[in-house]
Amino acid sequence: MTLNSTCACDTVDLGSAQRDLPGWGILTVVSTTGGRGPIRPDGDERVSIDALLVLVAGGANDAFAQVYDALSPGVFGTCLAVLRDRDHAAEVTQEVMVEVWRTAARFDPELGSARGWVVTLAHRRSVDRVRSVQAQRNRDQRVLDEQGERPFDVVAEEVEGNLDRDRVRQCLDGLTATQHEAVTLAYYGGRTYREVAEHLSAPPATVKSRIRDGLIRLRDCLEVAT
Amino acid sequence: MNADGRRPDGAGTDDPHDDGQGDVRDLLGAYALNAVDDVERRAVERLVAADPESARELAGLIATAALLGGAVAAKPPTEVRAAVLAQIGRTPQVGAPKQVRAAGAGSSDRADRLAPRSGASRWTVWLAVAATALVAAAIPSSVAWQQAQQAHRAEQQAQGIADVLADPAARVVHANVTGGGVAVGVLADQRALFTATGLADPGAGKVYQLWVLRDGKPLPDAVLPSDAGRVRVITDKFAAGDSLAVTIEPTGGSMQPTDTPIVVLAAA
Repeated sequence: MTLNSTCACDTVDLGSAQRDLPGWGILTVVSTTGGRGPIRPDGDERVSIDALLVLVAGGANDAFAQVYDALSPGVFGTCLAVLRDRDHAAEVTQEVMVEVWRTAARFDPELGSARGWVVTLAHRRSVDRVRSVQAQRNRDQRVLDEQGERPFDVVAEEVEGNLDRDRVRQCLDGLTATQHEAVTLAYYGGRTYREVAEHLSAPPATVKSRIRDGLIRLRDCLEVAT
Repeated sequence: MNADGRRPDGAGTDDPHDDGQGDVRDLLGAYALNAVDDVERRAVERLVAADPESARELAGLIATAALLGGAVAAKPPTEVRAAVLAQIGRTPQVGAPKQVRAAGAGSSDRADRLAPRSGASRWTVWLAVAATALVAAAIPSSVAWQQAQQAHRAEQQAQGIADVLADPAARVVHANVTGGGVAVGVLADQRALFTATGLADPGAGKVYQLWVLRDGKPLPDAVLPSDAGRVRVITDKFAAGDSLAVTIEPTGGSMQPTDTPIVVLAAA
């Protein structure tokens, strides 16, 4: 048996192990990744990235390069959407990816996907930055420059074949107009719900509820496990 | 979720923003979008620390918000990749949350992580030592010697991981662990790396033990020190065609497995 041979197996037959050792017959289902060379995630992408991040927690630089390649577009895109500035977005992306390396041991695959963890971190960092006075000033100017543009449309060089994007667009279209507006202004605009309320001249409590109701509807549409 | 662990008694009542417009639960959506201020953030964190149902809702909403981010994915400039890979080469990693909380800031943090430890967190120490290179001078010589030994072992371990990952024959396999957790193996021709996370406590007087399965026979391998449910080990006993298995054994380990494996990793 060569380890490089392609294997699409989902279960493992240990052959004589099962015969020789009574009680060892009930084996856990094992799925394998790769098959095209060393540590090349394919197939069940979520599990592979998560697995690689577990290796990163063990100090594996090689694995980290692959984690970077897989996760950095989501990080950069999120930063870019909120910060509206490629240089700022690149800086925060670097901060976030180094933070992922530094704190990889805190990642727990049972609590969520690596992708979700990293994007959440990117959004939080971007929002922190946008709320700092300097960034706020820059952004206000840019927002003025870009008035009327929808959040999705300002993002250049989107990753092609982004399935998440299509699904999210579809599900965003399923929200009421006011929910859609409140959710996207808050998330992509990096605004607090109070700022959104001010922007829309709506009561804060109303906007707060629209955001929660909208996100719940989005969650159900996107079939996010809870 | 950075719940601060305080009692939830103040949630919703001492919040200056709670002007009768709704309870803290209404803030879960805005929290998931980072659209709350610091006072509201703390109120939400108190709520989810006390209310599992709210915590579950929040987890789902945060995961949903992350998909909004993933939907606008864009390739970062290529120079960011080089900068990040260079920076991680000089950035030490931190351990699992428990240790991080126990460790102070600055020099005491470093001393804590470099201090000799037994069993459970030795791996963390090795890796921390490897990442922080050599040790500062003002340390008693006996401790310095121990640390030098650890640093040496750390280098060997870090090199071992790099070697396994770089091996063109290496295959990554993963499986859920019976009783909770996920195991990942990197199986090369002459050695294998086994890691697992989220493992339950094996119980009093019990340990996790690794086995190399060769031609159906389990060969005893290392007892695995569990560091907050994580284990990592490199085995040189592994050869092409072997599988890895883990059982729960009495402290000290066994020569023959006394129980069924909780996970088996095989390449093909």
